[in-house]
Amino acid sequence: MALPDDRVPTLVQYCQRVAAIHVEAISSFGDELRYDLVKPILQRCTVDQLLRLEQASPHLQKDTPEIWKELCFRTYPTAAERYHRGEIPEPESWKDQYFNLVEEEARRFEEVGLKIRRQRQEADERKKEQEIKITNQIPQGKRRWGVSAPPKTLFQKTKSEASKMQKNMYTKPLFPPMPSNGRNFRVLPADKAVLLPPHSGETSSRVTVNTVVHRVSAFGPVNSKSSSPMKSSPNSALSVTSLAPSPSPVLLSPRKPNTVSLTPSPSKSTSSSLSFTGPSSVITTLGQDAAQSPPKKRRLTSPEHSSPGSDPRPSRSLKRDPMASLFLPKHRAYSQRIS
Amino acid sequence: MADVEMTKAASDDDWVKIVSEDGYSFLVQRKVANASETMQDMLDTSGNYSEAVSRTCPVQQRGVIVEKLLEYMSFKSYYANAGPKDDIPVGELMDRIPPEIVLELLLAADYQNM
Repeated sequence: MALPDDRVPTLVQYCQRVAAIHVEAISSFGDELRYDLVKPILQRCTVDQLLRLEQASPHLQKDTPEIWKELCFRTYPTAAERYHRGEIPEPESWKDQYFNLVEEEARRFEEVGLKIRRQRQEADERKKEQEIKITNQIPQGKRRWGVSAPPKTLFQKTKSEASKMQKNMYTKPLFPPMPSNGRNFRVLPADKAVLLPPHSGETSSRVTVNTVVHRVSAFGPVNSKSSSPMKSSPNSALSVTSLAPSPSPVLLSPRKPNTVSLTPSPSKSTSSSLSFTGPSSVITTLGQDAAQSPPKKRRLTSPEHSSPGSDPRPSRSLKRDPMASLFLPKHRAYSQRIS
Repeated sequence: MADVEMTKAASDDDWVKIVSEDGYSFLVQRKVANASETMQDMLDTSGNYSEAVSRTCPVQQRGVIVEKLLEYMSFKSYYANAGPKDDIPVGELMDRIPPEIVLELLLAADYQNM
C-alpha cells in the first residue's frame, strides 16, 4: 500500500522545524546527529548560536564553511557581489572571512562617525566665535585717534552723504524737533503781571507794590544764615507790630534776574492778602522768604496759568509768515538739511 | 515430523507490539506500524526476521520517544488516504512535539526512515 507521503511532512521535517524554532534552547547537537539532519537548523541560527553549536559538536565543523558562506552573503550583499564577479578570491575559511567582513564594516562606521563628529565640531567652533563673549578688556576701536580713515573718493563721499540724508530726512521723527529758542525755555509766562492777583483797591493808597524778582538759587545759600523767624502762614496778620525786622511774606515773581528794589513804606498794613507789604529790613531776609513763598505762589498760580505759560512758544512761531511755508518742498533741500 | 514454522500471513488488521528500550510496549495496528519503513521491513512476514515471527518490534529509544513516534505514525496513516480536497491539520502535530525531546525524536525518526 503506497502511502502518499507528499501531503504529510515527514517526522524528520517536523522535528527540524521545531528545533529551528527553539534553537536558543539547544546547547549541543551531541555526537550522533549527522550534519545533513542538522543543516536546516544551522541555517536558521544567528552568528553567536552557530559559533556555540559548532564548538559543542566539533564533528560538524568540517561541514560548516558552507553555512558561513551563506551567512556572509546574507549579511554583506555588496561583498557577495564582488565575490561573484570574481574580485575576491575564495577564502580559505569562510568563518574567518565573515569576521573580516565584520571588522571592515566596523572600521567604516568609525570613519564615517569621526568625519561627522569633526564636521559638527567645526560648525560648533565657528558658531562659538560669533557668540557674545564676556570679557574684561575694552574692545578695540575701529579707528585709532591719531590715524584717520583712508581718504574717501568722491564717489564714496557722495554715497555716504546720500545715505545719511536719506536716513535723516525721510524717516518720521519720533518727537517734535527742539525749537531754536530752546535755551529760553520757560515755565511761567514772561508777562509777570498775570501772576499777580489784582489787589483790592482799598489798600492801594497805603501800599506800594513792587514786584521783586530774584533768583532763588543765588540767594538761598547766602541768606540761610540770617535767622529771623519766619512767619509764613498766610493768615498771619502782617506783622504790624513794629518796624522790627519781622519778615512778612513778600510776593516775588521769580522771573527776571533784576535787582531787588523795594520802597520802604510804613508798615501799617492791614491784613490784606498775602503779598504786599515790605518793611525796609526785608531785603536781607528776602532770600529766605523767597525760598518759601515762590514755591507757594507758584503752587497757587501755576495751575491757573499753565496755558498762558505755554503760549509764548507757539505765539512766537505764529509771528512767522505762514505764507512762507507754502512753497517749501515737502522734504528739505540738500542745502537746508539739518546737520 | 518437524514442520517449518510458517509465519502467519500478515493482514492489515493485525496488531503488533512495539517495545521501547526501557520496557514500555505499545500495541498498534499493522497499518500504523507500516508508516515507518524500517518497521515495515522488520515486521514483513515475507522476510524471516524474528520480529516478523513474533510480531514484536523493539525500538532502541526511550518510551517517551517511542510514544511520539507512534503518534506520528498514526497521524500519518490516518491521513494517508485523504482525498485531495481534505485539509490536513499539519500544524497540530507540530504543536504536539515538545522541544525537550525534539533532537532525540529527530534521530529516531531518521533511523526509522520516516
